[in-house]
Amino acid sequence: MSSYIIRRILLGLLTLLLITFFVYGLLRLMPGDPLLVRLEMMDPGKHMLPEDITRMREMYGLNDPWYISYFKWLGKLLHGDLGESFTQHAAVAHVIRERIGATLLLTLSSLIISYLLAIPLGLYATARNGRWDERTISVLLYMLYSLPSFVAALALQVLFAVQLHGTAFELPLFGMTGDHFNQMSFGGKFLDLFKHAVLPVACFTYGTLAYYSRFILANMQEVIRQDYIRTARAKGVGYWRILFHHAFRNTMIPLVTLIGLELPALLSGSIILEQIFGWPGMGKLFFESIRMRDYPTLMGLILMFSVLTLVGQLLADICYAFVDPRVSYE
Amino acid sequence: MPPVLEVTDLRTYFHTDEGVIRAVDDLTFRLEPGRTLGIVGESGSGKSVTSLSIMRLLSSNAKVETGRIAFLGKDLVKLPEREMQSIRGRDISMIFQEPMTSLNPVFTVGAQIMEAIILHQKVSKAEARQKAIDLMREVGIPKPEQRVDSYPHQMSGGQKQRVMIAMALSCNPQVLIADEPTTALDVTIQAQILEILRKLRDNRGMAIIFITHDLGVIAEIADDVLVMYRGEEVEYAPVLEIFSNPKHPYTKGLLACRPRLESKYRRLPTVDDFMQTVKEGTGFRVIEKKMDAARLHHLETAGRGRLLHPKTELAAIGHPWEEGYHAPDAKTVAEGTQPLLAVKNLEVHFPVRRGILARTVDHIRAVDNISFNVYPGQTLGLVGESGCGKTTTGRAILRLIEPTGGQVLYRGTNVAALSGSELRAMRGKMQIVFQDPYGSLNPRMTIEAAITEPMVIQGVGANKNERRDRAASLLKEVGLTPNYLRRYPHEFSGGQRQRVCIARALAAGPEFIICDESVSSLDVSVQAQVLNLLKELQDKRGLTYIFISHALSVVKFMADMMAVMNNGKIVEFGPSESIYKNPQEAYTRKLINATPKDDLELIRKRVAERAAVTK
Repeated sequence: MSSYIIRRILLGLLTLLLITFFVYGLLRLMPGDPLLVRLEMMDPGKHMLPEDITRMREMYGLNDPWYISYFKWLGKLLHGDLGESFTQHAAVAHVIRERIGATLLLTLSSLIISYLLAIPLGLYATARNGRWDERTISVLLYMLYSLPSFVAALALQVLFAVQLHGTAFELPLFGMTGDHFNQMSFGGKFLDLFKHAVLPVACFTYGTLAYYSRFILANMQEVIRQDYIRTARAKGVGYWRILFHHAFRNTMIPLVTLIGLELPALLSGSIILEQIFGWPGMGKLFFESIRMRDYPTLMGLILMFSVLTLVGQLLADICYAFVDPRVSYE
Repeated sequence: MPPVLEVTDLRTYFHTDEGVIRAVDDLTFRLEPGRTLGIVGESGSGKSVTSLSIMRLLSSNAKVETGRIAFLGKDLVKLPEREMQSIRGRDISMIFQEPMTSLNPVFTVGAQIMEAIILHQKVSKAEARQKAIDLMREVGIPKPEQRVDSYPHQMSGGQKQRVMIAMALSCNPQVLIADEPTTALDVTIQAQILEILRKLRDNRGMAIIFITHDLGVIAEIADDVLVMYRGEEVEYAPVLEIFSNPKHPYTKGLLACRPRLESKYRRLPTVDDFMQTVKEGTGFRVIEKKMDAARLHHLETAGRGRLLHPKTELAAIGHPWEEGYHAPDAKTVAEGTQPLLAVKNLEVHFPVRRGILARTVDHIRAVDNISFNVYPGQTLGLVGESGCGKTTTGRAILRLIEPTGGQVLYRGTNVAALSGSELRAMRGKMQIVFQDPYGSLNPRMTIEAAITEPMVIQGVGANKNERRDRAASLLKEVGLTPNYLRRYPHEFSGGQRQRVCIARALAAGPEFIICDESVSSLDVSVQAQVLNLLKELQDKRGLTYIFISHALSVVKFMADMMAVMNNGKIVEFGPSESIYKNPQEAYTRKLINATPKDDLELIRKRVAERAAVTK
């Protein structure tokens, strides 16, 4: 196992090098550069001297060809330095650290809720297969799965922030915290955060929930047709035990892979939802950085997502060996 | 003695979109304690559905329409599911055909045996574990204290089937239903499993329902035999009666169509020689046919006798030609004939990789330095148990697997060294028919597309119409009708598909065909037809075959020369009849002894022994 993990990590490092190299090239070849983008936004009455522009280009390292800049970036990275954000005038690591909490609050709660609901829903639907309640659940899940999250987000905003305005069910329209958050007591802070998070978390969750339950249902239906389920029945094992003990344990094998692939999504957040709800998370940061051609921040984010993707896959493969005794990496 | 199980007028029907299928129709039989009832029939005869009806494990579209299944006087058909659950595994247990898939892959075998024990007996976990270990020892699993914690994938097929038996026996059931329990296993393992079942039955006084398509196995284990055909009983009698004096034409056909080790036939009789089935209303009627002298003569004399290696070569491999020793119609290849195929020191090694850099630390020697010749018009048989390397040998000859060493000389050209276009041209001469006719035809291609594709690749036929005409005549040649050309594989039975596969192999006009277990998944009566077809094609087209099979009797029927393989090596090579009559190697003898025998003397002896035991 350990030699397998070491091999995978070495391969992963090589993959990272290639990803960052190509992404850096693509970013730099995008039309526009940070200075021009900012000039466009500046007061047109104010003039910038050509010398200033040259000086700033030099300062940002934009005069070098992109591959030279890449290796400079890589050199700094090896010293643990992600560079400085062009727009926020702070270290990239610092910028990311500021946003990470907001996104985790959203994604982690959504992940936990969807698993907690999807497993019982999937099992229940398997047990009731073909009956009216399973059909209803399945159709509902299918509808949820096909509903775009931005539509749901806008509809929920209209309902809870506008229609229910002034009632006990009112929820804030956007943002992560209300005014005067800093003066609130601990309980107050929690309640405020909770109220702000309800709608984004709900929008974040329902699609995954639908996907997971359908995934579990489909896998369970596959598993209960297997020969070893018939063997268990022939032993005299009861229906529920067959479902929970014999069948679900086998369904967990593909489920574990799914969790591993979920890891990068935990930190990437959602560009659209964070934008709609004004949620100060990673998705929003990513979007803003692209608009501003903030290369160091973008590279920091991409590096993080790539690392997480690779780690997630490795974790999934390792977990695989734990839930499936047939898999070993010797 | 009162029966432990009595089935009366059982009808189990499947309700499908195409209508009602009468899987079991009006079946009646009884099972006494300590006795073994063999149920025999071909696929679709309803024998497995019968057992699933008894266990009430039918799929949701099947239903027991009428009839009574009385277990110690209790009608299982009417029992509530809860009570049925406590009967399953405790009073009636079952073992299945596929040991590979019948155990849950994520639990240890010990846990799975213990589950059955704990379900039906009031014992602690530690006691259950001890019982599981004892049971595993009883069914012949070595080191049961360690194996109890093994997962199914860490065991061989034979061991898994032993685990299944241990599980089924765990609560000392009164009835054991064994549904084709040895079909997926090698003959030597099959012999061991049959021995275990016989011993357990005698020690525990258990009654067994043994379901199989193999009459040889029936002869080895059954006291009474129920022959089923299309859901109905056609004959039900004591085992000696069935084998010595079969009454129903179907039973006669089944008994005759198996290639037996001592058979003298050159062509096999088929069930069609004994009977004809005609539709009558919703059912069918069987008309008996008499096998006339002309037909019998044809079966014994059609085609050629054995064609052995040249005499000098026979002497060199230790089987010198002796006048009077071989069958009178046996001939040898003329001296100086060049072999069509010469395999020299063929090796296929698969690397075993370990460590961070995945360095090759060892090799699995699937085919380990084997050599043999095949002469034009001959059939060479490759026989051995699973994992012996026979299939890898066949594929390495065609370069479907790259050989890692040695030469394959086809008319003097080394196939192993050919480049892409030369190899493609060579494949027109060398073809293969695989084991599984379901998996080896593309379900999205019509029969015409499947048969004409090799013609297109090999440049046979000037245009589409010409190729279609050729495909049509090929279908006729393999015993199908040309109007099948536009159909898809799923519309055909296994035997018909295998005929299509043969037609496809013939499409490019090959001289040499490898038949890799080509009849192993077919019913015996269909197997006889396909074997006859292969022999006829060989006579007509002058084909040369390598015939690969795990079944010694089939190889002996087909092959002139036989190579017995074990662990990647050829352990014995010679004329098939000599090897059968006078095996030199212990391994060959083991294979021959393990093949189920059904000569009447043996059955008589067994019946007499059984009578002594039960008294």
